[in-house]
Amino acid sequence: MLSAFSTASQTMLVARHEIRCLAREGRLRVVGVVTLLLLVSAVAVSLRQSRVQQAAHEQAVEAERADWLSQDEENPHVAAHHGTYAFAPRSPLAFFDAGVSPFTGISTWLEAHHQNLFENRPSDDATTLDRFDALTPAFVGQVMMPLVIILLMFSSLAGEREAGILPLAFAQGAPFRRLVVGKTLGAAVVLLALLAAPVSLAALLVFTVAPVESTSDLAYSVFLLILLHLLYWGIFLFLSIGVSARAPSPRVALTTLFAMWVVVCWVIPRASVSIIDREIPVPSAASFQAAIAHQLSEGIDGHNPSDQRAEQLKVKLLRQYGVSRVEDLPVNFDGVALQESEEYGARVFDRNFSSLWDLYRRQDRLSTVTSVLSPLLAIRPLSMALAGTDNDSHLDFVRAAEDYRRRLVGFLNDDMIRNAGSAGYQYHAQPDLWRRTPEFQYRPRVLNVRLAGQTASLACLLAWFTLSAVMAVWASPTRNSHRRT
Amino acid sequence: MSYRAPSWSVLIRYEWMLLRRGAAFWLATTAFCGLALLGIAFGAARTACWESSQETLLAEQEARLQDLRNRVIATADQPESLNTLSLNYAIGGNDGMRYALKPIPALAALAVGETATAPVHYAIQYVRKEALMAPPLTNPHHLAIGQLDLSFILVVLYPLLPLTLGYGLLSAEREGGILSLTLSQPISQMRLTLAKLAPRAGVILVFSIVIPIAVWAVSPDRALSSAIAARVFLCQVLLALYGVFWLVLAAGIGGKHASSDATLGAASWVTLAILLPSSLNVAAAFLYPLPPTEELSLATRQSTEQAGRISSQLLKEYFEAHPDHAPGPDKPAYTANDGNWVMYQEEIARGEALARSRFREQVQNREQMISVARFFSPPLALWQALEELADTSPAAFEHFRRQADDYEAEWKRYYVPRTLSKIKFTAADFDAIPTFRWNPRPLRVVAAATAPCLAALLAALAFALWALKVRGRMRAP
Repeated sequence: MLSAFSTASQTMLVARHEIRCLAREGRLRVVGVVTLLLLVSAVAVSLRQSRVQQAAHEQAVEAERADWLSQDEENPHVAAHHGTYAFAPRSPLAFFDAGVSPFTGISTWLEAHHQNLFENRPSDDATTLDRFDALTPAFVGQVMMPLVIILLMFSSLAGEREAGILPLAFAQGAPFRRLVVGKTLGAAVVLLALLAAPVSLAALLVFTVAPVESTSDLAYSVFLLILLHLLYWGIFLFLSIGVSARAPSPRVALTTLFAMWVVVCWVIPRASVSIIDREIPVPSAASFQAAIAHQLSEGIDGHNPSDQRAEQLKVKLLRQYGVSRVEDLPVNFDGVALQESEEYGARVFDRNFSSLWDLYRRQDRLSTVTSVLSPLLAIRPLSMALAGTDNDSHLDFVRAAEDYRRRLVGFLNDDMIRNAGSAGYQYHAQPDLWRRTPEFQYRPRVLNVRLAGQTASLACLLAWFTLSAVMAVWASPTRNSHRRT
Repeated sequence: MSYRAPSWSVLIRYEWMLLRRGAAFWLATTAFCGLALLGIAFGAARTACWESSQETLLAEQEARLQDLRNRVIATADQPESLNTLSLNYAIGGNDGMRYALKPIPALAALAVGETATAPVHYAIQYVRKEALMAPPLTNPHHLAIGQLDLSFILVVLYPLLPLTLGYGLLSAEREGGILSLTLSQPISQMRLTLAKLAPRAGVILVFSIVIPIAVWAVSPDRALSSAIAARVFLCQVLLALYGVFWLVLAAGIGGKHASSDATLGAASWVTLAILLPSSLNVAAAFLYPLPPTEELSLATRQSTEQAGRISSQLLKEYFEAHPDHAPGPDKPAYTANDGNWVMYQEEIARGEALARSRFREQVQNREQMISVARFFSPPLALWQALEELADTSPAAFEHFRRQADDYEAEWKRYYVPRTLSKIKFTAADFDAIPTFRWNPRPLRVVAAATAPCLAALLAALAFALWALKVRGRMRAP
């Protein structure tokens, strides 16, 4: 008991000493001020944009529904071509990590016959400045914070060795591992003190842009984001201590850690993208669209009654209802043909879009594999998933929008089948029909669904954390090796 | 006995020998060579992919147009009828659409630039062009991370090479007390510093000369015109200036201790190559916010409805302005919808262009801000210049878009009157349909776009040299 107490008190003593040393250094003040400035400006600008986008989204959804309801008497198929826009909602945490949102487009036009690609991507209006990483809170937390940790910690042991303090500590019987744990604790306390205020403030501010119904989901997401980032920063803390323990001088420690940061945060993520794009290529937009157009033209065309498939459908219907002429059918043939065309089109779109998304998924899986080389590649998908700005979140919305398109067009075709009679395309539905159409409502994926696909990234992050902690303790010089130096 | 100052060649040879002996030199140059080779290889793969995609498009277009031409010939003897009109619409629609392709620039491997997000081809037909443009289907997650392209390597990572070569230039000797001894000889500190910088600058120069040539060598079409040679040369000059700027900066920030030099070098790189451009990006977004992109969809909706309301009126006005195109007793009567449809599409395109102009205005404001900001950020100046030389800059893509617009207008001038006035397309008419002709940006335009970047880098270098001189004077050995 006494021994345990003594161990703990020695560790705390080292931690307190580390805090005092860091507090005395001008480096902490400079790094601290710069970090806070970066964090505060990133949060402020991102939150402002988030608010504007949220308001624009709500207005657009309202305007589009009002437009749909304002249609006059019209043929249901004309209304299906009028279509409606589905606007992708902005996740409240997109202000922290915009993820793929700038590159996916914010709306898609839902119309008869076609599953359109998403359009109006914010990245379409990029300038040369956008080639540099955007200063988002995620960028500060995932790329700049590791550097801050390195700058604070590179001389923690290497500096003491150079100043001759380390041999004195050993001579007084301080076990090395306790020294490492104490220094890590001290540095962690300093970092937490540095970040506690801006992180708490940002966490509270996020609730001001979130819908009330998603508050608990958001609270858990924020909590997990903070937890995962603490884990991520821990990796760099341990790596810095480990390298500092082994390096012969602070200069060597800094050079090694800095080179490691450049490789891990800048080279590997981008190199992995270039390699994966080469290994798993996606089709060009032209060939993708040409494939869909070709497959659609092979199938039934709802507007062309001479189409071979339409002919087969006609024969089938006439046989089914026991009549000899289309005019005698109890249902409208044009409506049935349109619905057949939609169902055929749905099969074509499903096949092509699914194969494209499968390619994205394969690329993302390979990217997760490369996260064994860089913890940034492990935390990035986790952070995007928690923020609801990852590929899967976007694809979920794409699926929901397409599902709605099919229901909407099916509803309108059904009205034509039942009510158009022999009038066919001359039939006009009453405006009441537009009010009875289902409204598009999308509920973003809940937290556990968002995280379900991230097990590999989480495992990788945990493995990095464990290995770096083991490295910090095991890579530390023993007393004997120290004497040799 | 009088001492003569050692000659430049002696000093430089001695420095070169010392430099080669250091492990840092070999480590940094090998690492950078590896990165540059990787960047060039990725660039070559990217351009090969681009080339193959264009070949597929051209082959598809050729087959499709040949098929359509056969249909035109087959219906030549038939009287003008609704089927003929359908054929006219096929010529103006999906069957007859023509591609406006952006040819692969000679130095495309240098910078991804806009190729990651902007269309490199447009499909031109009577339906508005914007609706048919096809941005690449790159994984959005990959767009968020970015590619390891040569421009990123040269702008962001390359400065680490001169910083590694140049840090601790004098401080190591100052720490060891050798500097005082050396300066007791008839040699000035500036002369010594320049002599130390010379072999390092030589290394930078070699990389600056070789990399653009290597980029040109991996281009699909290795034709060497004077315009391409000039671009390669400009690129070499820019890289040399940029590299020497960082080298002088490394020498200038030298303090009393080599260890503090390392920290200062790393800090200056992080500040200039990462934080400053990112902060400028934030400032641009703050000062010139783009309207929410939802507005574009709503504008399309509004212009579609407007077009639906006024297309018949527009058609009437068109026929009043062009009576020779109006249907007459000797021409088959199309339904009003046929002409309305063409006018309808034109009106939508007009409405969308108007909504887009608000975005373009803000983007232009941002571009103006960049034109000033690049004088404070050499990385920004270099990146912009590299994209200009690679023809992948926003301006280069705007040039392509404008040409596609011109071609679309030319194509419509030919197609629309024939269709509205019910003239049946013959094989000769079909062959006379205008084709897209690419006019590359003249070298003077590229040079004019690159010149301010060059001036910015020169100014940065001059400032660094001045700072080096001032610091040298202030600092006692």
